Amino acid sequence: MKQTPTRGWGAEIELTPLVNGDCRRLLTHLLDRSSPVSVRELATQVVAQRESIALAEVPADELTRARVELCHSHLPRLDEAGFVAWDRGEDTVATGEHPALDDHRLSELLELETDAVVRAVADDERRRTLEVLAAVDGQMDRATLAKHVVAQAHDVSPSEVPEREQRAGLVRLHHVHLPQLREAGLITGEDDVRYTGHPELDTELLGVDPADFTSRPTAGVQTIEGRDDIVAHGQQLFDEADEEMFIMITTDGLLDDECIRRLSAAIARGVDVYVGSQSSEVRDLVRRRLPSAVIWEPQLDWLNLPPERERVGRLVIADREAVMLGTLGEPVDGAYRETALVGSGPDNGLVVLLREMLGTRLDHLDGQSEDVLNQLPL
Amino acid sequence: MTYRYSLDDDEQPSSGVVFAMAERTGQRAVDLDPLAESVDPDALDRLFATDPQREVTFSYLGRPVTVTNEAVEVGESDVADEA
Repeated sequence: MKQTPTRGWGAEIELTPLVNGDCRRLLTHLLDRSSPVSVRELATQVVAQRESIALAEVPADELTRARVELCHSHLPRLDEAGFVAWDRGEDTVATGEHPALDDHRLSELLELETDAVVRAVADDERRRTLEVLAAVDGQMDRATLAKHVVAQAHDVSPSEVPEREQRAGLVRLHHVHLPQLREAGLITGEDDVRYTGHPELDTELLGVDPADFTSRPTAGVQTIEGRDDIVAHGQQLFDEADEEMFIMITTDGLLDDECIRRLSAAIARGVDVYVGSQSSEVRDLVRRRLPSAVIWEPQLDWLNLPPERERVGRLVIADREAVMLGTLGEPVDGAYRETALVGSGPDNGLVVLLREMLGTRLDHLDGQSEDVLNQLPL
Repeated sequence: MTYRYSLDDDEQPSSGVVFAMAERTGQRAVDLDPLAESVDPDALDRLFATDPQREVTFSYLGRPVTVTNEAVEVGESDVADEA
């Protein structure tokens, strides 16, 4: 998953007054006007828009009620948040200084009809939650989601999120955000959550750069760049595997403590873990830390792909349904520039290709016989 | 018996309600039914943001919960057969 620094709406931007439909209608009308508008006119416009009637048809009692709501609820909140400047002496309203007023996405936000959808995107942590889920092709368990959401908020990699922060994030997801997102029809699932989207909601509103989506088809092979995101995706595969985890690693240092911990958790819940490496350090590490994992030494150095001299750094296959193939570029300042191809689903092209390449030999891995292991085309 | 949970300075009241209930009932916070199904957490937090001198009482998981700016108090369950 691509990690996105805070973009567009910042965390400090207060959008909650817009959860109210009349506030959105009021602001929409105000943005069309270049001079201050009387509260009475605003109230008339709000009722006419809401009820889809002509201005002259707005009933007097409806108008009175709308004026009371404007004065006691909507205008104070919009004024405090900076969306409008309300001159109580003149009883007129003009647009305020709110930074979102200059954001081209504000008009889309104001056009949303369902309050629950606006509520979902009005809070920065809910927005990040949706952003993470929308960028993931498929479902994500809540603990992993919490980690990614917190990571985005602090602009760090998911593996750097302290466990305490992750737990607090998980509690907020469970008690505050996920129920609201579910109610808005934006997500489904309890323990494993999936983004379903809403017909009214353009993902651009989440602060997600639309280019992130067009360059990454949802079903197919995607590219992940940068070590942190690759590691995070690999760890997610470790967490999601139900039966089998097949891992190839070329150089040591690609299997950090967090990976070991998650593999260990996978083994504990009954997943068969296979680790292959030509590096004796990696094999020793696995033997020491993951005694239940099956280890072997690949016989062929197919990992050297000559043309660009890009080398495969890691290969992860989970349940033969999800694949990540990471390549190491030329080392820069001692660190490799890493890129990974990922695909998931039994019919995914990359998954099918690797399953074919490894063939039925995968089935014999647990035999641990030297002969079988020698036959691996690795 | 009423259980009292003190709020940290930077702790949101909604978060305090969850942890108070978790401690009172001996359950993990993530295993409790979502707070949002009983009260709007955003609205609750906003109440105290606009004026800390408030006292709000509502029912969550069958127990009366009273929130002030300093603490959350969880009362006895009003469901007879619950411990």
